[in-house]
Amino acid sequence: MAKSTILIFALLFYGIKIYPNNFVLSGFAFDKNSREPLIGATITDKNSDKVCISNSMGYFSLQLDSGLHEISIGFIGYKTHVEELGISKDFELNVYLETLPFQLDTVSIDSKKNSESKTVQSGEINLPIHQIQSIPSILGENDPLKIAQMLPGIQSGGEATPGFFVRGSAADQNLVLIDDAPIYNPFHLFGIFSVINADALKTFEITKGGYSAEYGGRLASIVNINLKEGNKNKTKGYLNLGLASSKVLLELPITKNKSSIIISGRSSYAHLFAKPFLPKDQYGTYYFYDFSTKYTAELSAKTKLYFSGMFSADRFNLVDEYLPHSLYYARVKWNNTALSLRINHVISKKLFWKSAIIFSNYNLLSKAQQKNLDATYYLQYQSNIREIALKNDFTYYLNAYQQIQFGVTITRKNFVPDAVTSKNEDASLLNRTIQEYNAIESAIYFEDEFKLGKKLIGRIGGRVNVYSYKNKTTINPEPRISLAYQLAKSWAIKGTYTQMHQYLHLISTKGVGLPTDLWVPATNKVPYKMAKQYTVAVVKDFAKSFSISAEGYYKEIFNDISLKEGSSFMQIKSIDVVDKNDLTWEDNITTGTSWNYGSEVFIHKKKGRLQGWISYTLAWSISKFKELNFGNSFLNRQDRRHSLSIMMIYRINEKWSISADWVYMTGNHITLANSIYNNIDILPENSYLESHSNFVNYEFTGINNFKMPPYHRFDFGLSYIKQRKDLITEFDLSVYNVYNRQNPYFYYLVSSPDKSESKVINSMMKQVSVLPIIPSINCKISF
Amino acid sequence: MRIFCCFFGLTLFYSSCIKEVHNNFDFEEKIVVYSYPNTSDSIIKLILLNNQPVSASLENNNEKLPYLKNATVTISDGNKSTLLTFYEGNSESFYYTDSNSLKFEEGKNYYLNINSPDGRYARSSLKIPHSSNILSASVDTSSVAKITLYDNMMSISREVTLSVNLNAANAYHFVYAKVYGKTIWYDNKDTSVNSTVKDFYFNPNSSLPLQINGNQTLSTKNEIGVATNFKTIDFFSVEIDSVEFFLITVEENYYKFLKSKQIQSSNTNDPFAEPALLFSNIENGLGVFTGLTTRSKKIILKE
Repeated sequence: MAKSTILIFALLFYGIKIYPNNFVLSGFAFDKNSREPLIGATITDKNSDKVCISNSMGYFSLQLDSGLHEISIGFIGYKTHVEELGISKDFELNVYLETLPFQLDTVSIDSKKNSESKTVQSGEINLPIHQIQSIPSILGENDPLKIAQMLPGIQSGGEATPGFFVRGSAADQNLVLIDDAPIYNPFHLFGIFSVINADALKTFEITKGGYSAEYGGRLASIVNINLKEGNKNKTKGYLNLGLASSKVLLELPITKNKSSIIISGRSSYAHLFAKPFLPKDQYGTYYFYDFSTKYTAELSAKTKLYFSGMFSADRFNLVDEYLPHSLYYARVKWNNTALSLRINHVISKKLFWKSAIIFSNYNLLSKAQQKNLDATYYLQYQSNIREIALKNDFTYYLNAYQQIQFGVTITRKNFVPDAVTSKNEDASLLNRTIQEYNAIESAIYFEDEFKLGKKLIGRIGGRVNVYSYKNKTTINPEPRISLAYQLAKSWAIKGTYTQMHQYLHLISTKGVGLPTDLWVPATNKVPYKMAKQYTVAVVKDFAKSFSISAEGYYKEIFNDISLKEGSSFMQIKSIDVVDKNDLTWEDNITTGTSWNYGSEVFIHKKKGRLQGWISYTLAWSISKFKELNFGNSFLNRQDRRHSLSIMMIYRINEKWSISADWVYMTGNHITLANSIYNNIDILPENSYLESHSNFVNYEFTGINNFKMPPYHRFDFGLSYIKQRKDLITEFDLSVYNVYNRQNPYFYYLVSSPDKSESKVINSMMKQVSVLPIIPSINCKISF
Repeated sequence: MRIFCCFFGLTLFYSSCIKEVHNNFDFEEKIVVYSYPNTSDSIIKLILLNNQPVSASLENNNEKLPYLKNATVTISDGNKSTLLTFYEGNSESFYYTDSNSLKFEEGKNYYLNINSPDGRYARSSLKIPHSSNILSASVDTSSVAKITLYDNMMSISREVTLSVNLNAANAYHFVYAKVYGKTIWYDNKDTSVNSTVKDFYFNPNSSLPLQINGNQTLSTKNEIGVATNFKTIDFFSVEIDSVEFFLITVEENYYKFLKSKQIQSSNTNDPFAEPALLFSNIENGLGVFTGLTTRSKKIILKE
């Protein structure tokens, strides 16, 4: 730690001494039509090859010597702006870039942000929004989080499983931020759609390693989503009609070129269509809606105010009388709320300040009831997590080669987790008082991004977390190091080392098949998690605007958590239980260590008629818990050895485009009984142990002993755009899972009596697949 | 549009049907072993069964258990090997040997080899634990009190205490007692008195890791030489003639087996429970082969 501190200061002084720039070129990059700031635009001085990237407000600051400079400002999908400037004093330049109506190979687009070899960042994927919108959709919904699951190192949990798994880590280890506010469950039911409306997005970035010190609190990934600000010139919008859902978006300028609001909403109605087609013994309803808004006001030339809000809700009911003696009933509802009030201010030409007040709330209520031969079992999960945070971030542009970021954040989290199951209904148990947990997470961070000479770029920094729960406070430093060395011919080699801590956990019951997210804090009984990750990558940019990267990673997670074997939230095991409230979720948790490692290859083409990517991941995810699997290591559920995805979009002309993707993943792992056998106790003779002889023993060869069949599917999409004056009509035809692959969602064991209905039990294993071939047609009318 | 909706709905809800899968995907027939050699037994019994696919039916009737017959079963102590004889009875079948053929002694290792007629095999070994001593045993007759059990039933309670010296390292213990006496049932109309022998199980003072049917029965691993008191309350006997105490020392393997079985069996029918693995010390097989030693002490009472 001491060595890294010395190194940071050495680099700081190095920057100050070697690059005494005289004048500052600063300003904003905007979209010419909508006045949206462009995040990640590249500002290049062609004479000196000095480069900087615009930040989340579109602001840039570049230090130049006096004299004549040829400044180029480029952004993917926009015409590059080139301007000659004679610099003899500090200079302010606001640039308004024009969008390219139809991207062709011949158009030169300069963007360092999209040149993998020129950035220090490793393990980050920045998906262009136009690609997200062109990929074949399911039921007409282009979903960035679903598309992310086709990227290297990012995998879905399986058929219709919400959440995503980054580099073998569990779903709770991903931090999804919408305009700085975290979303705890970013998916609607079955993970078919996320709560994010692709049309309301400005940027979508996933970081899997080499995290910036600005972010913390999760071990696996940071998904950073920025919503559009809305058109500040004129009213724009669209209406999108689909088979399962429809959505509407409206961009309204409030004060021309100064303030705007964008509102988008979506609601499903598939259950209305589905009702007549459901089997007689199965009836249910499901619907969701989500809503997002963003208000932006330019308070002054240097100050901007943003208010962002996102709300989503899901409701699900299912009754399945799958056997004459059995019944399954489930009712689930959950809501997400994310609000952020942010202010960005240019303090000086070199110093930029962002401040935010953030509120996030997630509520889940999941009830299920399963009637078996012996009894009726009830399950009730409630999970509420509420977070209020205050965040202050500063960026100091020290010189053209060095930029320093630092900040402080404080978050108060309130958890109300409760899970209970009971054999035959016990109203007093299901309606008992639920305990609340409060925790405070604070952090300060510092980070120096620099360029040493012409070849080496780096980012060195650290974050110090302070976590308080009850009377206990822990302090955990997290060093973050990212280095990149540029080789000849657009090759670069990169390496990162990061440490992360996570002070909250998601407990999910494996066998239920229902959303049973139980967000809980790290407590005195259940420790926080910590991960160390090392990555090495080789990247190459090609002239034809595509890049290839190969990256290896090794991640070790300490204090990973799991439910104990046989644990149940069944609190009534016998009538002798003294105090039902004595049992808490903490008693069901055990901790261990996990190791995730693998390599990823990503070929990405971002521009031209043909766009898309090929992604391949070879990965291992292994855990070892003292109290699981008799202390032996085992493969994690999300251990998928091979993942391959191919995604292509081809723009035939200005009106027509086609797209297709194919996804293949090795099946994930679940725990299933391999066999059954009678139980016989023969000692002590005549003793009580004989009473156990009637039990059936289940043989499990190990935790996660069963590998599901591979997951694969092929999707196809066709898009037609017709423009008449200001009215654009877009028709999308898409077919999801073209060859109707029955990918397994989950397996479950059901018991039924034999013909004589004696005590002899027959067991059946059932596989559930929920997403077959789904053709859809979509019509979008924009103005 | 209507046709398309029908097409869409039908596709969505019929082609995604629940598919029945018989979970025999990697079923491997294995030999299931149950044997608990005890130094005080005159005959060592060993039961061999076959496991079944998950989709199979299991009979609770002893006569219909899937016994593995005609296997070659040997137990050796490293020097001497004994072939076990197969006995097929009407109600149960097992392999056996008498203690003259092979003496089970404390602290010694024994090796089990099984070869089935169809070419399968299983191996295991055990080490008979050193026994622990019963220091004292008592029944506190002064604590006798008439109590109400249920609305219309009365009984007598008294405290029964067993004090033992747990001197076996790395071992676990059972304690239980047989109470010889008379049971009386009171209700509003009748009183019936019967001579009975009943088993009672003790609650060690600390909270215990294992419960079977609500009775705490098994101690944790104890330190050598630490005296431990086990107490229970006899609710049912109105008169006690004698109490026989048993202290059974078991191997860690047996503890693991029972503990895992308790976890699994307590949640077998709970569809919302996590799966639980069942311990076995049988290589290439299932079940348990474990050794025990028993100490007993009988107290004659004159109430």
